[in-house]
Amino acid sequence: MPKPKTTKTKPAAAGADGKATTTAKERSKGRRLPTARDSTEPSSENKKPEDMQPASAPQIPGNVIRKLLAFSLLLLALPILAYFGSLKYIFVGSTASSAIVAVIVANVVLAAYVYAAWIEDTSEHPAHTNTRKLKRR
Amino acid sequence: MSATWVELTQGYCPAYSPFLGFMGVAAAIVFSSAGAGYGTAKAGIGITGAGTFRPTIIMRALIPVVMAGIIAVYGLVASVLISGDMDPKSKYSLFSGCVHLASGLCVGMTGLAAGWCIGIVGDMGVRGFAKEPRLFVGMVLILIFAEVLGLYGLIVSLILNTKASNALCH
Repeated sequence: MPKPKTTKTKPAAAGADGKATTTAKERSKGRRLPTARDSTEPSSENKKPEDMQPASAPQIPGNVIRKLLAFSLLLLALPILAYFGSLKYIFVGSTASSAIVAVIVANVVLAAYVYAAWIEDTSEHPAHTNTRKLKRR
Repeated sequence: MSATWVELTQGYCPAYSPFLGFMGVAAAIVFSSAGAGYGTAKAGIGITGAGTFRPTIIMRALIPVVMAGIIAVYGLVASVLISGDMDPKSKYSLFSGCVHLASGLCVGMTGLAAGWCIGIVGDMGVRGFAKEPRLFVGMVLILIFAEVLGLYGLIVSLILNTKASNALCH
């Protein structure tokens, strides 16, 4: 939980403490939650050479992309195939039962996706965490 | 076949009953896709919000989007089911038209509700889960309950669809 900002309690007429108010502002500014603006505006105190490089490629690992593509194609194709397949071969003419089979197949694909997401390793790589931690301080 | 004016407008199998049937087909896919679209969009806002500071949780964060896609699959299955009963060469009773309209509206509006719920829960759930990983199970449970709303609509739609009958048309 970030500490609450303290700039409002300091009176504006503290002319002699010009340096104190700016350091209080800087202190409360450093404890804000990171917003989208922080990443785009390079402020003077934490501009680092590696932050200035443009993102050349997305940082998502290749196997995650492959899994996502595979599940998207499965969810797209399997329920429809199950509906028409069971309509033609298993329940000839009974459309309600084929629809139930299609719904079951769609939910099986969803359960497989939730399981694949559950067992995934979500630890961050060291290269990412270093720049991220330096930015927040 | 010569049908009288009274038969065509006021009989048991009037000429306008396919309109009701096809409105059911349209309602099934249109409203459930609207719900799924809202769910995907709202959950996508949360994912982009959480992804700026936790990009490694992408697969877990996309679970609301997959569930919203399944809501659209329910609407697709129902509309394929209903349109399979429509045949231009055979008679179509007003009763079947009303049944198909009800069937399409059932799955469509419940899909809209389920997609709306998935969107809002997915948005805030993913943002909270990015900060506190133990929220994952709670988020998935709430999403499953939201999805079941669409499933109830599909079940009622299937049950209604079996009642359509054109036997009394001559």
